[in-house]
Amino acid sequence: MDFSDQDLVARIRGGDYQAFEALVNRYEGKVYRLGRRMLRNQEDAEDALQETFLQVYRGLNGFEGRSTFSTWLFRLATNVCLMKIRHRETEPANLLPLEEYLPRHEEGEHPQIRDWPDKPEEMLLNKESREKMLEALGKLPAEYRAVFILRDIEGFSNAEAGEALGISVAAVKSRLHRARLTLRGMLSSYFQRKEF
Amino acid sequence: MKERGKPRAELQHASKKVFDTILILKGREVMKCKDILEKLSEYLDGELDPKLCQDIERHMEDCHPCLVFVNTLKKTITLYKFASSEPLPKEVHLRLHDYLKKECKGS
Repeated sequence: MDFSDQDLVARIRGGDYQAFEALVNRYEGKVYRLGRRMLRNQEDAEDALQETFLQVYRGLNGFEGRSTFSTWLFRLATNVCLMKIRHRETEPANLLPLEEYLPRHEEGEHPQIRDWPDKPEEMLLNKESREKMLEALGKLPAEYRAVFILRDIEGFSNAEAGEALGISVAAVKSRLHRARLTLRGMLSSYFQRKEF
Repeated sequence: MKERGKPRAELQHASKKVFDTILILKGREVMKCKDILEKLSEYLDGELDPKLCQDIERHMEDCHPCLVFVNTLKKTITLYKFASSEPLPKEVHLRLHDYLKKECKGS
């Protein structure tokens, strides 16, 4: 029952449509979640999901196996999301001033920094917190958002994320760092004063 | 009331400066908050060499704001990981499979 991705890909190439359905079942949740986080809106996420798997089916002969199937799949999925974002009018500008959320360290002076509550699980039971977090993620420029989702939410390595996005490992690391700092900054004013 | 902690913070800062100067005189580099900030992701991801990790940890022993900053940065990552278990709605799954069957098999 438990075929590897590679086995399924070979079967699909041999004309086995059920193998394709098995592959879709395996990854549809992850691709949908990527879309929800990249695009926020449920309808767009569903469109992106359908488009991605159609591209997978049609492009499978071009998949050479140099990267793993999942990296290739996420590259397609991320590109579908980024294309949708580029066609939007309401997307935050690419030059969102991330600096606003970075701490300012002047010589000899520190900003007032307070810790957040200690129990992440409890913070997340609160619906408002989850919404704040999604909202913050949605404010990141798309290229930063994509890196953060792949690395920190989906657990890709730097190399895999770089391959999926067509950027260098150094670019992955630098975008990830700025994305994390910015999210921390955006969530700080909310979590600092919150009792859970 | 707000001012109460200030003299202590200033004292800590002054003594840290003296300590840093001694290290510089001994020929050792001292990491500043700004240097730390740039390295934090690599630090949290375990990608830094042990010597640099030690320097960061030593800095944090004396610098409470940096310690809190690292903690909250770590929490940011953990929170997003925890919050990401939204299931795929059944109807989205069904529509996807119908759509693909129609497009791929032409039926």
